Amino acid sequence: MNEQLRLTLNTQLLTLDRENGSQALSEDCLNAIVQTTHSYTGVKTKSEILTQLIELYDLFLECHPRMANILFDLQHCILALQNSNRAPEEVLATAAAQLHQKKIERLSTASKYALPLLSKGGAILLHSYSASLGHLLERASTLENTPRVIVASQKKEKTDKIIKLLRNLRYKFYVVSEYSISQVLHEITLSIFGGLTLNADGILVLAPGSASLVSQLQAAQIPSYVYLPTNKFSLWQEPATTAFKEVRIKTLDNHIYDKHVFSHDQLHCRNCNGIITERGLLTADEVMGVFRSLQSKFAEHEIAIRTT
Amino acid sequence: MDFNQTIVLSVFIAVFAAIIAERIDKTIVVLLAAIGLIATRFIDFETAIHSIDFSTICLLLGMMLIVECLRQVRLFDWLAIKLALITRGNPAKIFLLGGIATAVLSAFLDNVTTVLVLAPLIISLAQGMGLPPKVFIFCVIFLSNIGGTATLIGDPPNILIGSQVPELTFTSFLEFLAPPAILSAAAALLYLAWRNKATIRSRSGHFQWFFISNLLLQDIRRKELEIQIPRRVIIRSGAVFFLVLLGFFTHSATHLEPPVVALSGASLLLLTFHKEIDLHRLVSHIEWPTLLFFSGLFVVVGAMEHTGILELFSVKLISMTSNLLLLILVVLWASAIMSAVVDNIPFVAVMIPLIKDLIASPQYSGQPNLHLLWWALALGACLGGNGSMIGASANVVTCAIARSKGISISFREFAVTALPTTLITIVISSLYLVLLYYF
Repeated sequence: MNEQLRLTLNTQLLTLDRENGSQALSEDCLNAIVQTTHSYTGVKTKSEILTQLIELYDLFLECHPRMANILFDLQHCILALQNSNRAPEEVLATAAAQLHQKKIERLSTASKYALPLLSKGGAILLHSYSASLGHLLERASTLENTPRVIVASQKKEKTDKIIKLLRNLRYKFYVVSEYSISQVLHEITLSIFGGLTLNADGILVLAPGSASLVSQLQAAQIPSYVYLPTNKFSLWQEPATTAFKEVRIKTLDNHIYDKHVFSHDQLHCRNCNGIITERGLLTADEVMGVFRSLQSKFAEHEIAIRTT
Repeated sequence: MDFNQTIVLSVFIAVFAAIIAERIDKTIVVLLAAIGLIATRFIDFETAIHSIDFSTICLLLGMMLIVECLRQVRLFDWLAIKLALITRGNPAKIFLLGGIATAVLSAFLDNVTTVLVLAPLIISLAQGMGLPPKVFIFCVIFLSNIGGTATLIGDPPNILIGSQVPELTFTSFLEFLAPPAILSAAAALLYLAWRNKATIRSRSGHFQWFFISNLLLQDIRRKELEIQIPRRVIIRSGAVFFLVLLGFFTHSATHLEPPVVALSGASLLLLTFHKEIDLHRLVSHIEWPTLLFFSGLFVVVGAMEHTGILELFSVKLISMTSNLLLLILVVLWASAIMSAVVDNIPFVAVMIPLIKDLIASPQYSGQPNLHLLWWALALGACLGGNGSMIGASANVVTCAIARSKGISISFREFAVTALPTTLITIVISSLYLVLLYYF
């Protein structure tokens, strides 16, 4: 494994996930696979492209945190290529289009299950920007009793994205610092967070800052939900790491100290009220049941892509 | 040298030393020196005010307003994204097109603005693709200084020379300085490419690295959609900028001075985008300290001129040699060395009246190639800025941008790449001036 390659990919994945959300990132990865295969100047036979895709898959496997939805897309591409005799570019372009369509359907179904939560009006708390949440908000904007939105602000660029989205959808909203939500808890009726993945041990991986917000909301008995379609479940038996850890060297008055910076937060799925998936609004126990039911088919795919 | 001359010269040397020491902001240093000289009557208030070259100040102000206006309508963001998409994630294209774009932009905008627009993008592209970013950083720095050499408005030393020597028009700057600037840019690019062959090699034959480049491009495409600059903004700003350039080029026919052209362009842009821009914010982004620095410096140099120090120096310089070619080369190399180690503005400000005296002296009067002294000064002062990390503002700003992205460049590391590059460009300029002298 080329460590520099892995580190570059990992850093880029984290940056793009932070800026655009994991849904958009997986779209970008699919388009990049199609583009790379199209313009690749190496040998472009089926077996060579398969080897390259499996190497890319292994590279993604080593990234922290493991981005399951991208790995599933890659799996799908590899299997499609294995089972086809058409030109690799053509097969991958078709596979990408299919995956894109499935994503839209998945989001649409998940949003359908989440809409009743928003139809009661009130004020919902949003924190991290995500395309999935954007989809849900778009659907909810047509409701008769549209909720107000309170945005717990974090980095300016991310908060700006949520603000632009809310403005475009004509939501009533205001922004409060993520450190100060204790002052507005009495106004919040519901909170929804975007999730990156769910590990085999029931740990959810969320944007940094989310876990402490959920804790505060739970203490105040305000329902918290995580939007996580099943293609984001990390179906490997062994739980993957939940964050990329960076140790930054800092100085204060000539004293050097280490600052540990984590890319994501972790939270057990039992600590939120439910997970919004395309299979329904699931409790912690239900979601782990679905998780286990998906694991066996996933294991078959894992074996299949190695039998090239 | 009389008492007054000794004091004024001491003040100038102290100003130079304080600027090099960088303990106090250079604007404060120069303002204190100017006010001190006026208060102690080494130069009276009337003469001090007359010493300030408002032509230079207005040209700088006009160009700053244009740049800030274009920045507020996000034209530079749009340009940067377009550039990134054209490179298609190819390291060689990032290097080459990044360098060319830097040089061209620097020729028509100030160097600091150019590096503020392009350096973050080029560094992010290189880092995002896992490329060692330093070669791209050096490329931006060197090409910004080289590109700025090509025009009257490209670099502050040229603005100073162009404003204070009316017979040197925008077209003559371009005619005499663009060829060595283009040759120097090509040489610098070739030298950097030769030293970093492995880094800038295309990655389209390595699937994983190529995937990373394409992933980055997907994000840039997303950003392109997010920026969404209306077409009319691009067309209108392009049209006004074209008119400004046309104004500079047609100076000999219209007799509109460069500062008038720049301020007209700025006013037209402000009018065109009055709904899109926040005037107060725009004005607050003007580099007032730079304008104050120039004003103070003009007073200090005015005091030197008023007390006759510069005349004394020019007499000494004339008595040293009667060989004009040698003098041209001395001006070129001295300007380059001085620009590499100290701020080139005070040096050029002092050299302008000196060269004026030289040209007017009976020893050289009637010689056909006296104008080459101006080009030697401009080439030396602008290209010499590449010689060290503190040689030009663009170097300092780009290194700071790099540091903010976790890339540290030491003084020595900078010098190892910068000195050969500067040497190459000054040798090219020397040969060019020799050719002009003989042919």
